[in-house]
Amino acid sequence: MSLLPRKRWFGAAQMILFVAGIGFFVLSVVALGILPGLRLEKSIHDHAPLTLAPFTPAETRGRITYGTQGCAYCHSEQVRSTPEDVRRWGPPTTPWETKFESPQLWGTRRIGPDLARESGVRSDDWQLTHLYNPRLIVPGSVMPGFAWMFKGSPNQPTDVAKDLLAYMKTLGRARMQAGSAAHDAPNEAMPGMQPDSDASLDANGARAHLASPGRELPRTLSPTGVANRGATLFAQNCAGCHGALGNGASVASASLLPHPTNLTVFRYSEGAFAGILHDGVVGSSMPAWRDLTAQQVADLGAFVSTLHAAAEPATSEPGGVSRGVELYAQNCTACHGVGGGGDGPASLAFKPRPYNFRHLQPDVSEIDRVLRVGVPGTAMLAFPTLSEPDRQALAAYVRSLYGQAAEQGSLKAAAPVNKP
Amino acid sequence: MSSVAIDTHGDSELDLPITGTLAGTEHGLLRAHGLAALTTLILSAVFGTVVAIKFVLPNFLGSEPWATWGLLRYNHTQGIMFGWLGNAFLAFLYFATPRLSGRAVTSRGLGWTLFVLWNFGMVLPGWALVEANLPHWLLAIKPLEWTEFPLLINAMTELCLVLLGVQFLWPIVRGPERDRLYISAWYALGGGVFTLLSFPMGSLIPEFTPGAVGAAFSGLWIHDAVGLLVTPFILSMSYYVIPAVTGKPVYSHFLSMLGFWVLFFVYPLNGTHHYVYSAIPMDTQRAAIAASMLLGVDVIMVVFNQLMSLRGSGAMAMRDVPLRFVTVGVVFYLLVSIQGAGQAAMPVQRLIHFSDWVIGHSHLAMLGFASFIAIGALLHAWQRTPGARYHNGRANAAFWLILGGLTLMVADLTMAGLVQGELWGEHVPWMDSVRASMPYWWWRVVSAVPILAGFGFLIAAMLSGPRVTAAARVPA
Repeated sequence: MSLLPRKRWFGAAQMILFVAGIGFFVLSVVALGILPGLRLEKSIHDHAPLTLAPFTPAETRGRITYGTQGCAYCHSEQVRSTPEDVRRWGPPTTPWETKFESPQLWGTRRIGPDLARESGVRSDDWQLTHLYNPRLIVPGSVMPGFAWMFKGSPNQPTDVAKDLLAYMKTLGRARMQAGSAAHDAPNEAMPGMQPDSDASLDANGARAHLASPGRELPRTLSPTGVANRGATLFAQNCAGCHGALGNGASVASASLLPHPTNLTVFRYSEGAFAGILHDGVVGSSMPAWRDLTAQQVADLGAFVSTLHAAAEPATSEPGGVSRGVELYAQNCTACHGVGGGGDGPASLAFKPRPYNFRHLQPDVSEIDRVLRVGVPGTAMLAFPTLSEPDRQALAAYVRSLYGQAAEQGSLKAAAPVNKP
Repeated sequence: MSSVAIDTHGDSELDLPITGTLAGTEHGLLRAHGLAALTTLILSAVFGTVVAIKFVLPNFLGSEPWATWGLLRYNHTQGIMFGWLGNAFLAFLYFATPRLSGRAVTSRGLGWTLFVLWNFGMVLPGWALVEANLPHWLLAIKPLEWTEFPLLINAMTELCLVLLGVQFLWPIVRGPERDRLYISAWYALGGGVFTLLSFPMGSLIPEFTPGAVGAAFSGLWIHDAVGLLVTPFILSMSYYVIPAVTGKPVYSHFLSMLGFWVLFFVYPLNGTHHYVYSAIPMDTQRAAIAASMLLGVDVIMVVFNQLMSLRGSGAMAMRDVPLRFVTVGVVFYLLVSIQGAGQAAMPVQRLIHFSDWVIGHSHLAMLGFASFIAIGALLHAWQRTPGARYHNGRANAAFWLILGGLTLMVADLTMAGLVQGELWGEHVPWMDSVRASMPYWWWRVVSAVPILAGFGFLIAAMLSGPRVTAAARVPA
C-alpha cells in the first residue's frame, strides 16, 4: 500500500499529517470559522445601535458567574429563527446583540427557558428569591438553588447575587431599547416568517404588561371553569408564592415586595381575573400567564373563587355608606379614582397600579387591615388616623363599588360580540 | 473460562504490518494508563450520575457550592474525554505504536513524564480547579462546551498533545513502516495532528470574540472534539483489534483509505450544525448540514468495511469479549452517525435541538461508540500485557450490563427529547415540559445503575483473574 516510493522525505505519513491533519483543519476553520466570522463582524459593525453599551464591571462579574456556574447549560441565550422560539421569546437573536458577549453563552441545551430576552420579564425580588431556592417560587423546578450567594435569606443577597442579577437585566435589554428601529436580519431559515410582523418584543408569555387597573379581558368564548382542574394548576403554578392555601402565606412571600396577594379575601370579576393572568402585575413579582389556555384560566378562576368561601354580610349600618363616601372622597380618589376604577390622577405614577374596586372586592377584614398597615411595596399607605367605625364605613362603601362599572362598561362592550 | 484468552496465531499472517520488535512495548506505561483510564472512568461516571440525580432530586447535595450541577457536569464530560478516553488512547498507543510503526515509542522517560502531566498536570488539577471555581482568568472555568477546563489546564493539554506527538507519532512518521502504514496508524496520525491545532482554536477564539463569532468557532470545536480527537483514535482501535483477533485482513484497504480521507475532509465541516437556525450565516449552516449528510454516507462505508472484515467470524465476535465490545461499538458508530446525519436536517433540528434527544445522541456516541471500542481495545491490549490480570467472565458481565444500561438510557432520553420538543412548540407554560420530563429523568437515573455496575465489573475484570505472563505474549 505504498503510495510514494520509499525513503523519500515526503511519504505517506507526511501526506496524512499535512493534508488530513493540517490541510483539512485549515479548510474547516476558513470555511466555517473565519469566513462566517468576518460576515458576522461586518453585520455587528453595520447594525449595532449606537446605544449598545459594553457591560459595566458589575454586569461583567455577573456574566462570569453566570458562565462558570453553568447557567448556559440549561438556559440557552439564543432565540432561534423558528416559529416556536419566536412565539415564546420574540425576534431571533441578531449578531449585533452579541457584540460584547465573549465568551459566547448561546448554549446547546434548554432545561429551563431561554433567557436571551429575560430583561424586564420578572421582578428583582422574583429573580433573587428564585436564585436562592427556585422551588420557593416555581414548584417542580429542577434548577439548583444558589443559597451560598445570600447571607441566609433571599432578601440578603451578597454582591455575587447582585452582580448576577445585574447581568440578567442586560439580557435582551439592547434589543428592547432599540425597539422597532433595530436591525433584524431577513429570516433565511423560515422565509415566510417576517421578524418584524411575526415577532413581538414582548412575546414572552410571562412578561407583564402595564395595563389599566382591573382591566377586564374581553372574553368572547368564555369556557366554564372546573375547580378541580384549577386546583392542580394552582398547585403547579401559583402555590409557590400565594401559598398552598392561597392565603399568601408562603416562604417566598417574605422576600417578595409587595407580598403575594392573599387570594382568600378578594372577590374578582371573571374578566378582571383573566386580565391579571393575561397582563401580570407590573411593579410586583406577579408575572403574566399568557401561556395558559382560556380553559386553564377559567379553571384557575373557578378554583380561586372557591378559596374565597366566606361570603360577607351586606353593609351593616344604613348611614355607613354616606360616611364612607365622604372618607373615600377625602382620602382615596387621588389614586383609586372617583368611581373606584383605580384611575385617579395620581394612579399613573404608581406601579403596581391602584386597585380597581369595580372589578375586585376585598373583604371588610382585608380593607380594615390594609387601612391600618398599608401595603408595603406599593403606594398604598397606612391610614392610622382613621377610627374603627371610619374604616368600617369606608369598607362598606368600597365594597359597594364592586360590579358597578362592569354593568355599564365591560358588558356593554362584550354584548355585540356575544350576539350571533 | 478458566484460562486467559490469549491469541496464539502469529500476527505475521495478517495484513497488519506488525513486523517490528515487541520488545519496544512499554508494558509498565500501558498498565499505568490503563489503570488511570479505569479510575477516571468511574469518577467521571459518578459525576454524571450525581448530575442525573440532581434532575430528579434537585436538593441532593444542593447546599455546597462545589457540588452544584454546572461544576459536576463540566467534570463529567471533561473527565470522560481527557481522563477516560485520553488514558485509554495512550494505553492503546503504547500497545499499537511499536506494532504499527515497526519501532519503539520515542522514550520511556518521556512516557512517564506524559503520564504524570496528563493525569496529575491536566485531569486532576482540571477537576480540582473546576470545583474550586477560582476567579483568576487563567484558573477560571471556561463556559465553552467540551473545553471547560481553565486556560492554564488547556495549556497543559496542548503540551501533552505535543508530547503525545513526539512519543507516538514520531515513530510512525520516521519508523520503517512509514511508507506502508496500516490504516490504524493513519487515524492516529491524522487525529493527533488535527487535535493539536483544533484544541487551541476551540479553547481560545470563543473567549475573545463576540458571541455569534465565538459560537461559530465553538461549534467547530464541539464537533472536532468528538469527530477528530475521539473518532480517529477509536477507529484506529477498531481497525486494529478486528483483524488482530479474527486473524484475517480488513475487507478492503481501498475502502479504509477512502473512508479515512472522506472522514477527515467532511467531519471538520460539520461544526455549525450545532447552531442551526442561529445568527450564523445561513450558507454556513447549510454547508454544515450538507457535510453532515455526507458524513453519514462515509460512516456507512467505514462500518461496512469493518463489519465485512468480521464476515465469517461472527462466532468469534460473540465469544471473544474484547472483540464483541469492538463489534458492538462499530454498530453503535453506524447508528449514531446515521442519527447524527438525520438530526442535522433542519426539520429535525427544529424539533429536537436543545432537548434530551441530543443528550441521548451524545451518550450513544461517547458511551456506545467510543467507550465500547475503547474498552474492547483496552481489554485486547490488557490480555497481551505481562503483569496485567484479566478475568473473562467479569468482562463478559461488564459488556451486558453496560449494553443494557446504555440502551435504556438512550431510548429513554430520545423519547424525552421528543416530548420536550413537542411541548415547547405548544401553547403551554414552560414548566409543563419539565414536569413531563420527570419520569424520563428518573429512568435515566435507573439506567445509571447497570452502567456503573458494568464499569465496576470492567475494573474487576482488569484487576482480577489470571496474571498475564511474559511467556504468553504474542510472538513477534
